[in-house]
This record gives sequence, structure tokens and C-alpha cells, in this order.
Amino acid sequence: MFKCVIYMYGLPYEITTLREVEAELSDGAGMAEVVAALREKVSALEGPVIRTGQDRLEENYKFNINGNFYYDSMDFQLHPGDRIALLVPVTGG
Amino acid sequence: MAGGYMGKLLFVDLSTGKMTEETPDESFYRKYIGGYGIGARVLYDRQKAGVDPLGPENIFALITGPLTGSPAIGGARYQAVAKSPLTGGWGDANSGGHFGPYLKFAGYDGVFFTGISEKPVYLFIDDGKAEIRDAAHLWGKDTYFTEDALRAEHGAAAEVICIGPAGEKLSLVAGIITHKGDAAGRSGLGAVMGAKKLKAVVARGNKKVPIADIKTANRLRKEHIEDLKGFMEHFHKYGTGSHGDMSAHSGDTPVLNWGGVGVVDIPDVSGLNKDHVIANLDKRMGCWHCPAACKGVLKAGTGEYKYPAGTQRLEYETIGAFGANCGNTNVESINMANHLCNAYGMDTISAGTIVAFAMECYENGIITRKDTDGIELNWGNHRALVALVEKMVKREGFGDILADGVKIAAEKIGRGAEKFAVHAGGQELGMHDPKVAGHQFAGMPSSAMYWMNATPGRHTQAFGPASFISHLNNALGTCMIIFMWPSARGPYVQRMVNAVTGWGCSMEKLLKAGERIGNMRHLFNLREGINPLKHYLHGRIIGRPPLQDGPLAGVTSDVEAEAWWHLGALDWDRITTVPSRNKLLELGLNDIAEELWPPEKMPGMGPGGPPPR
Repeated sequence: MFKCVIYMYGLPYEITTLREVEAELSDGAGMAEVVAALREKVSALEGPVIRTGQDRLEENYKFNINGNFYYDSMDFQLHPGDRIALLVPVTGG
Repeated sequence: MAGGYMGKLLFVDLSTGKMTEETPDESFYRKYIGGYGIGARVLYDRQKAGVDPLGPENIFALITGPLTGSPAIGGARYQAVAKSPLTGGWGDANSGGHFGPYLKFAGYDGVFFTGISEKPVYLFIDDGKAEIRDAAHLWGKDTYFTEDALRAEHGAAAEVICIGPAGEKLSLVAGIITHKGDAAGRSGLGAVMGAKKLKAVVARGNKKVPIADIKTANRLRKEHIEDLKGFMEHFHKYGTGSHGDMSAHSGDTPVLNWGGVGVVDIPDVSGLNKDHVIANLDKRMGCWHCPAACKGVLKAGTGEYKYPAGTQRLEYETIGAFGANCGNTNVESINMANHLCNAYGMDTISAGTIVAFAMECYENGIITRKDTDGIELNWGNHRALVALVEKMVKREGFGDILADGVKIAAEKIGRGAEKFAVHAGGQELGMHDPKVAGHQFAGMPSSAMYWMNATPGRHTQAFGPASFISHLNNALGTCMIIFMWPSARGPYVQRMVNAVTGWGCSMEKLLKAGERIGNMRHLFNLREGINPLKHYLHGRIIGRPPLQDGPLAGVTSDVEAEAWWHLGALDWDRITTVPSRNKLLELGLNDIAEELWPPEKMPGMGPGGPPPR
């Protein structure tokens, strides 16, 4: 297990007013484990950002892990030292 | 003639004063729809390659779409087109307001200008009759004065588009203004009008836009309004200026000339909050018959910045350009800069990017107070920002060096300034960092969109198959926000087009028209010798090198992969970008297929003759 800081930008930040969330994850944690950890730590994300009752992000939300984007239905393995951020792509106007 | 069209195009030779009307076949309208679709085909047919964008041979046009002035919500737009003096290639710009519908009420789907007038003039179109009139009394005046004077002369029911002193002085980032702030700002088309000594176009008339099935069109409008009720309430209150603060921190708005990180470099963006943006609002207003009425005008500025009553409320792009991109969170200074750009007729996206460029040059010692006429251009210095904008719009002192965009300014300044000149193919970019969207092979915006667009740097058109709907929307004369917003009863495009025109078109056929229009813009550029793969694209736009912190830390766009996929999907050659013969034939561009693919260019014939086509 390792402690991981997940940075929050855009709507995830606007919804929670949290700039970062610390979570305990297993080495090699995938999308479902990270999303589950986020839901447990910040229940306000469930609904607008995390699909209700599922360990899946809503469409449009994504993680930036070391410069690569991961959307719902994609997977990854997170390791100590990786940088992870939760964001939403665009607004408009 | 199909519904939605007045059936007439007006051609005006400003050198001779000669005017002619043409009545295109319905098949022409079906193929090119309107707006820059019609514009691209007409310019391709009637304009030689290589003309001087500021010379007499460049054709400048204002064109509506079939839904302009119809019951479609957001059906208020017109487009300006010409060869761009800023990029040297295809140029278009798009604006709301009331002018588009009124051009149709005056009897025309579009008006095309060639030549150069000996003296300043404006075109007055009055219910089917057009007249070139003297504009000596308007030359040198700002857009507010010009619009007021022309409406005083021709009545409140006359609608006006005009240029300000920036266009007259041939600033390559000059735009075209209506309603004192609705801008067809992009591509430097204000300079094209200025070069032609065309100060304004006035449209007045009582003709009705024919609608094939008015009962259905009105029902669809009602349903569409009901569908968007919740969205429209918010949009009516704040317009596009609702998220300047949030976007500065989300990775959407570029920060410090595309090189900064919002949460790090401007941690407090509360000054850009939506409630500050509407704090001095006098009244809300909208484009012609738009139920959202997302715009507004301000009361006179009473603080440090004395912008006049009636200054338009800020739009997102202007907030981004003069805000986070300059490290500035003082919204009143942005109101003032916006007023100056609107009054003098300069594109706020380009102007804000130019200020950011100058600030970064100043911060890095490339320019000093000696160069800037004493202005201390540090990041976030809102007083310096306003002072510099005033110089730019008037082309005074250091502002004259900057008034043609960052590419030319960097060339004039030298000393390595080009490394801070953030542009795509010569034009400053819209205020959406494409890196935040990822590759977006089927969406927008994307890095390839800014790079590969026929008008590089534009943010409202996408690239690849996703662009077909954008081109269609623009050609129809509708607002990409309110008309295209996802709604409960699905897209209204096909249903409304068929109700208005009576065509009975499938969506597939309409999207094919969008594809044809995208191809025509591209074909115009190909004939100019422009291959979009060779457009300059500043490294910051695609994360080369990547940002080190914030939401986009480490992100680099694989723009070559995006282009590769999109070019394949478009059936354009992946090196030359020339559309295949089959694609041109599929789009009904047979004459251009013959031009680009003459027999000697066809693949060699083997035994048994040519391959089946």
C-alpha cells in the first residue's frame, strides 16, 4: 500500500473545494480502485463525477497520470511516485 | 427557390461602382448551404490564387445562411469571408447581432465586394436596392459613432456592420463590429474592409424570409425553447462569461501567454468570477429573436476605468485573453480593454494574446520601457494592459509595432521575441487550451484543429469528421451554442432545416454538405500553395515542452497522430493533404476533381485498362 495524492481541477474542485485528496492505494492500483477510494473519501463526487454506485467516472471526466489521460473504460496501474490528477476537459464560450 | 433563401446575391465592384445581382440555382444553395460554404465556392471560382489580401482582387463578402432570420433559435448569424491578410490563406469570421437577418430582410443572402474605392464609402441596402454612399464623414470615427450616425440617418430599423480606426489603419487583427461589440473578429477581415475603403454596410428592409412550413418551424422553435429552459436561464444571466475564474484553473484558459499554470501563477482568480463580470450590468440583450439573450450592456464605468455606458458585457474569450493569459484578474480593466477593442474595431482574442506576448517579452528583457513608451508591462499589470491596448487600437508608438499580430510584432522586435509569439499559421488562438481535451479524435477542440484549420487558430470549427457539423452550423447561420446545445428531444438541425427549406434532407446529406464546405475552404488554401501540415504551431499549444504542474502537467499532444487519423478519415493525402479524386467526386466537386487530378496524375493503367471508379 502507498499514500497517493490525487489533485483536483475544474469541476471536481468546484464541487468539493478540495484541491487534493490523499488516498491509501495498493501498488498497481487500477481505475476502479482509485475511483472507489475517491468516492469513499469525498462522497460529493458521487453523482456528478463518479457514476452512482459504480467505480466508474462519468463521461468526460478523466485522470491525468504522468501526462497521459485515462477516461472511463480505460485502465492503468498506479505506482508510488506517479502524479495523478482528476479533471474535466473543457468548458466553452 | 427553397425556403430560407432570398435567392439573390449582390456583387459590388468598389473600383467602378458597378453592381450586379445574381440568382443562383437552388442546386447551388443545396450544395454550399450558406455562410462560408457559399463564400468558399464563390471565391474559389472567381478569385485567382496569389492575390494581395489587401488589394483590389481580394473578394470580401458578407453571407447569411438559410436559418438566418428564420424561426430557428440562434438563427441570427452572418459570416464575413475573404483571403486573410493575417494568415495569407482562407479567412472567415462569424458574428451574431441583428445584421444577418436584416441583410435578408433587405433582399439578399449575401453581398460580395471587389475592387477598392477611391474614397471612403459605405453600402446602403434598402429593401432590394443598393447604393454606394460617401463615408467621408465617418472615416476616422469609431464603431459606436459610425453605427449611431448611420442609424440616425437611416432609422432605427437599419442594421449596421462597420470597421473602426483599426481596420482603416489596416491592423491585421482588425475585426468587423455590429451593435457596438458583436464582432466578426477573426482573420483580420476588418483590414480587408479598410483596404477597400469600405467603412460600413447598412441593411434595411421589410422582405420576409420564405419558410416552407412555418407551422412546423414555429412548433419546433417552441419545443426547442422548452427543451433548453434550464440551460437558458443560466445562459441568460451570465452568457459565456460564467466561467472565467474556473477555466483559469481547470486547464482550459491559457495562462501567462500559454506558458503558465493557473493554480500556481494566479492562485486567486476570484476577480474573474461571473458575478464580477455582471456586477455593472445595465441590461441584458440578445441577438435577433434569440430566446437566450445571453449578452448584456454595462452602465458607465465609475471607478478607475471610465468605459462608456453601453459597453458590451464580457464574453468568455475576452475574459481569457485579457485575463488569465495576461495574469490579470481585474475585471474592470478587461471591460475597458473590451470597450477599446470594440470601439476601434480590433479582435479581442488577438489583442489579448498580443498583450500577453508583449508582457512576456518585457519580463524577459527582450523589450524595456524604452521600447514600450514607458509602460511597465509586468504580468498582471492591468493599467499597463489598458494603456497598451489603447496604443494598439490607435496604432500609436509601440502599439503600431504590435497591431498586426504577434507573428509580425516578433519579426519587427527581433532579439528572440519569436519564441514568445504564440500563434498557429499567423493567427492568435482561441482561449481554449487544446491539450486539456486530449486527442479528441471525434470531438473538439483539439490541437490538430488549431493547426489544420483552413483558418488556423480558430476554435469553433474542429478538424476531421467532427468538423462537418460545425461547418454545417456555421453555413446555416445558427449559433453554435444555443442551436447546437444538447436537448431532450435531440438535435433540431435536420428538422428545422427541412421545415424552413422544404428539402426533406437526411442528416447524412446535410453532414455531407458540411464536409463539402470543409473541403472547399481547404481547396482554396491548396490553390494558394498552403499545406496545413506546414502551418507553424507554437510548441506551448501542444505541450512541447509540457507544463510541469497543474491539470496539464506532463501532457504533450500527439498532434501528428491526430492529423494522420483525421487526414485518413477525410480521404485527404497524408503528405500533400490533397483530397482524393474519389472524395471530390463523392462530394460533387467534379470540376475540381478534374483540375486536381488530370489524366497525367492518375495512377498508371495496367493490363485491362484503368481501375473502376
